[in-house]
Amino acid sequence: MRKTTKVVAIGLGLTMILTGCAPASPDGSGSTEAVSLTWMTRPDNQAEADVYASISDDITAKGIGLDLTYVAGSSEGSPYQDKLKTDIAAGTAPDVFWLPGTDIADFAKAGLIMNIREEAAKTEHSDADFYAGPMESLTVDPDTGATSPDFLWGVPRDVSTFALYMNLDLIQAAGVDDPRELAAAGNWDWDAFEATSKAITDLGDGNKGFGAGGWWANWGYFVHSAGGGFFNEDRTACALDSDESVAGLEYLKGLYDNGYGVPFGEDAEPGFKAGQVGMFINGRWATPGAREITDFAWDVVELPTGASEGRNWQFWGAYVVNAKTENPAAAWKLIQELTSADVQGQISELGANIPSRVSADATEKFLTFSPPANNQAFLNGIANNPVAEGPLWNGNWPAFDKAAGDGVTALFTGDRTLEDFQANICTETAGAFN
Amino acid sequence: MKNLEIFLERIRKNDWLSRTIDKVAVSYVWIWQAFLSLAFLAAGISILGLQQDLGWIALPAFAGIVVLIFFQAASVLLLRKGNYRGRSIAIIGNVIAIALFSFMAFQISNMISLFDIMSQSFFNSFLGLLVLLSGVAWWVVAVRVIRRLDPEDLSITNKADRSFQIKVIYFFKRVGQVLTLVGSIFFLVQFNPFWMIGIAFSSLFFPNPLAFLCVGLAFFASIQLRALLSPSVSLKLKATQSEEERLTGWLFVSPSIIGFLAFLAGPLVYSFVMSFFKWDGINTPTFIGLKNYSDTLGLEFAASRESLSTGYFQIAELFGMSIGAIDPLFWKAITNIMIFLLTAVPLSVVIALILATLIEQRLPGSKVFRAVFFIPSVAGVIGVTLIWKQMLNSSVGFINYAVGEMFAIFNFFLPGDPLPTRVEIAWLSSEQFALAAVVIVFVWSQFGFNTVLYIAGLQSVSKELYEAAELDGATSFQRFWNVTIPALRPTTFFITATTVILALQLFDIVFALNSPNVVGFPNNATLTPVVYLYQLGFQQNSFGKASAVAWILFAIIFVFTLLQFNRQRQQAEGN
Repeated sequence: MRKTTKVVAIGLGLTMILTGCAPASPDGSGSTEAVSLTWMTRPDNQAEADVYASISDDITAKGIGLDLTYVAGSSEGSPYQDKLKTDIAAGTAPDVFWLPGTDIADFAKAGLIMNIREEAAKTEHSDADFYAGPMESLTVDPDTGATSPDFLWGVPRDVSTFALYMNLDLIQAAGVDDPRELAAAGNWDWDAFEATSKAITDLGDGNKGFGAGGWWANWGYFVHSAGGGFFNEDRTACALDSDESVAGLEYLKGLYDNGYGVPFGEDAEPGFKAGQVGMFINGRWATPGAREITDFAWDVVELPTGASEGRNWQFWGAYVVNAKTENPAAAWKLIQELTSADVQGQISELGANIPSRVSADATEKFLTFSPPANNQAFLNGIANNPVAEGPLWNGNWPAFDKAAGDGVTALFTGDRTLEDFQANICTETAGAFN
Repeated sequence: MKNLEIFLERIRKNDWLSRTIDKVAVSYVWIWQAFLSLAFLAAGISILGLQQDLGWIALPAFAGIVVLIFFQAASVLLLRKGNYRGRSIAIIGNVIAIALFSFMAFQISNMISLFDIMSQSFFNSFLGLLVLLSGVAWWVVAVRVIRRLDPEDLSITNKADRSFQIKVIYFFKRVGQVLTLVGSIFFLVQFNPFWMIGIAFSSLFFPNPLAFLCVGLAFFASIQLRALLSPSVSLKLKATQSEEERLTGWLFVSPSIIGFLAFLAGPLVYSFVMSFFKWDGINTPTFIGLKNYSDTLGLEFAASRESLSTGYFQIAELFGMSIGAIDPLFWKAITNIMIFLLTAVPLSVVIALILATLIEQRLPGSKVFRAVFFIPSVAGVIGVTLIWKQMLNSSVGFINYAVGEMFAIFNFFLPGDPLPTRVEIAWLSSEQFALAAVVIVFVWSQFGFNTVLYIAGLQSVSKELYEAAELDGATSFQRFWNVTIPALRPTTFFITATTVILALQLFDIVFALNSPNVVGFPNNATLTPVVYLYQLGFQQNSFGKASAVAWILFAIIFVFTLLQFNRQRQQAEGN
């Protein structure tokens, strides 16, 4: 008994000594000067989550006064924004977090994120270093809904755009011209897209010419490309009832009605990966999944040109600062680190994102991240008159999304006519505006 | 065990501190209660001071504090008079004080951040924990082996005289002990509890020493509570046996009551209150009375669509009348869930009954099937729904492929025009099939559990009934219809009631099947009340209206369950 007591005593003593020698904190950061910050972003996959965690550790290890804790903000069945809103309501939201572009206005108007212009002004930050579309939405005065140099709600983490992922084997079997060559010659327009879709569908055996998702950006591209838009000029009212908007939807509806596409709203990715869908509209985030394809040759091409040239989407999300953070200066420093060219390069290398910085270095580096071979298609999409995914400063984006989405779905499923859609859609979405 | 008893007895005899506390408490318990009243008063004033931050909640919180102060003051007077009721009130007051001041200390010191550190530390020290647990397992196994050995072998005290076998077993025991010790040290070093205790302690003082004051108040309230429960206080207040028993009973159920109030009744009441407010979940709510309910339920009957009042949208036409609703989506959700209920529930029940009856025939392999059927019940809903989503894909899904293959077989046997062998049913994107797809996934995930319940029910049916029916010349079907089904009535009632409640609360399957399209896709064909309230709350930030929808849904579930209970009772009385 006495022997056991001795062993236990020695063990505990040893433990206390070793504990005293252990690092001051479990993550190995013990600097008393470092400011502890928590940050959260939404990774697209586990590989991205790992890189974000490693970036967080690297920034802490740089010894620049930041002691970071990274939270991977997405989980199965629990969408990122839901968790974030719950955290904010509970007062436990991170100091810095990522927000999708469409949500910036709602958070800023509710006073949940900080205007960081003052902090940015103390450093060498320049809005011009980033793509103009996102920066325009990030520099809005919430009271007027107009851009103002006094406001900066965040800095874009990355950008993305749509491209057409193509099954080159199916296109070749259909006997049509390679869309990449058509695009290079300036002939990749809606007519060519329809002809290619038809030719692939005509191959039979369940093959479909194209596939697209059912969410707003998919049909929204055709609205914009026809010269229409979701909103009026100052984004204070719906513009889905304009002749141009309806023309875009009519064209897409025609493609669906002719059976050239995977049914509206069905997930086209499994069909594309199975080699049965010729062209698949999706963003850069679909690239890691496409890289798994080994059964056929694939590449990407720009979206076809409609009546209004370009008009691809410029998707983006931004790092913002929690309005309740106790360390705005440190939070700003963290944002600068997270949006540096080096960090953006590390993330872009995984294939799902495009750097949000406008720089030749970032662009050149992005072009090397293949497959796909034609990475330039994404850059062309961003460069050629894109529509930046934007928050609704004068309304409620989720309410607009729901009302417009329901209206468009009814149109594509044949439950309403184009005339009915044009006559009523803006009444149905009116509740989404202030 | 004997040593422990001696030890405890020694403590009891020498527990001068407890006896002193009891003695002081008996005489001066009212002083603490008076002090506690003042502490509550200070808390109330602080809440009023924070009215701008707390918003509307400050007023009811202050009202609650005032009630507490009143009761505390009453307990002081009653205790001074030696009235037993004063003790009961004082006990409740101290329990509330412990909870309140602990919560305040937790909040002020931001102790929640310590949980993050703890979880990170635990993650870092997992290897040490693994070594520790392995060591303990090793040690326990060695001890159990030793216990089974011959006592004569164990009685040999001289190690040199022990057999090789005994030496090996003792060696293994020693290895287990060493592993446990090394694992413990490794785990403690990595987990670093002393450092965490240090942080927890310092966070009570910095940045706000008020946290320490709250801990102190909670601590003294605990001591006072312990004293109030002591026999000395009972004697002093001349408590009767029944009063003591009542108090003991309440104390036993109090953890459950506190848990119920904090985690069930509290949120329920909160959501009910919020259903009368316009609230975005973050900013100060605005009281709007019954508007959320009237906006949700509002209906109007008119001669035509055009004659509906402004703000009403036509949802149906009945006997030439136009029915308009302020919130057509809510009524769409209700219509969908009723259709779902009428299809999914009978299918879940009938399939389960048939399968249970087949399994109870005890055919070869029936046990395997019983286990297989139960798997969907334990599988993660989101995971299996995503698999179903792939299977239901119109172009490359297995379901359409299977239908096509089935048609090919039909074509082989049946005359006439051949059926298409390439089937592209848009299960997830057409209004005609989207709800059917949800029904399929729901029934698949439910029938296994129901089958197991039916098997249990079948096993309790008296064999004599079957024998009597057989003697009367009943056929298999007649025995099933006239014996099995009536005997299973209580099981059927339970299964139906639980499945109806689950069906009315349908959310996860729809959510996973719809993603990333808008909820209710396509065209609200799969919109259910819970999906709708999720959309209202988390996507449109209308938490007040979402709460109102939740309470309307509760009323519907309540009515359904009540009707089922009544029917069950009538049937039972009829028998």
